[in-house]
Amino acid sequence: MEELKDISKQNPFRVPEGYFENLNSRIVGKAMGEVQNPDPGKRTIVRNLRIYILAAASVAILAVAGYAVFHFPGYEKKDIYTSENIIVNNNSLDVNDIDIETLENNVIAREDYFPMPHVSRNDLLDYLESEEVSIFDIYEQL
Amino acid sequence: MNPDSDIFKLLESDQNRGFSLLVERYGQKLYWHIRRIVLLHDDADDTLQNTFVSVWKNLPAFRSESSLYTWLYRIATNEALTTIGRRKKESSVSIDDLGSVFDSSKEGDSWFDGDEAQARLQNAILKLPEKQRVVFNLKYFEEMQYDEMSKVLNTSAGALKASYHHAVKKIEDYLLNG
Repeated sequence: MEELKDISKQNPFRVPEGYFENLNSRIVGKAMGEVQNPDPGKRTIVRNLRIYILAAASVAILAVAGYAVFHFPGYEKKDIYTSENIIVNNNSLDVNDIDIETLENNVIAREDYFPMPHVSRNDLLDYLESEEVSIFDIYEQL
Repeated sequence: MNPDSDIFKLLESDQNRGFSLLVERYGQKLYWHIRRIVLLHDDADDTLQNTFVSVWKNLPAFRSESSLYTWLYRIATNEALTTIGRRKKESSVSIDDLGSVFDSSKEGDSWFDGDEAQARLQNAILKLPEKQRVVFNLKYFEEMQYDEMSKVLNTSAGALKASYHHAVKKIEDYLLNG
């Protein structure tokens, strides 16, 4: 299999004959024509009311998110284990004060409650790339 | 001295002729930059025209102390990414290799003359996230400096270097392992 350095950098794409010869006149004509005669179809009710629609959508998303946080299925049914303490029946207890049976019957591990999806290294790097996190940002956190 | 000072002078005295000179100087360069992103000639032609419509509309607000070159490339890049975003939405199948790109259009592979190796390279580039594809194209094919690329993509030069090296590694892995 070839390596990148072995592949020609010559342009593999081509254009129809004469394309660049009349490119200037076509582009200048279109640009000036478009500005002088803007398409009235582009001005729609939705476009004019866009900011109000966005504001309404933001409020709706916040309302749904708020409902989901406080009414997440199973939230009231199981207690949650954290690394520092255990919450049983809404009481925070030190892990040394609780017996094994209570632990097994009443508490689920955080990892089971919030299962972590598998993320490959490439997925992580692509995510960092898309979020424009630089290597220097990462070094600062270490 | 600004390399495009002649364009700016002409735009002040005769905007139409100044714009025509700008299109003449940058039209082909921008076309190939766009074409490497969108791959199809018809899409590149439409995108190039949209780019220059946007340039014409925004010329009055452009400050001549800035680089015309990076400003034009930024507009062209954004228009090209919009085009491929629209293509993805309109297509019912995944467009992640050259074959499916050609199959999704009327022109097919009419305007592609590359050999098998070049086709594999284009497939490898298509596997990259969109912004990373742009970084790779600008560095590898156009040999743009990172400082200029930073202004085009509004990203730090350091991040672009990391992105490019990562892109090269992914492409080399693809070429070796398929």
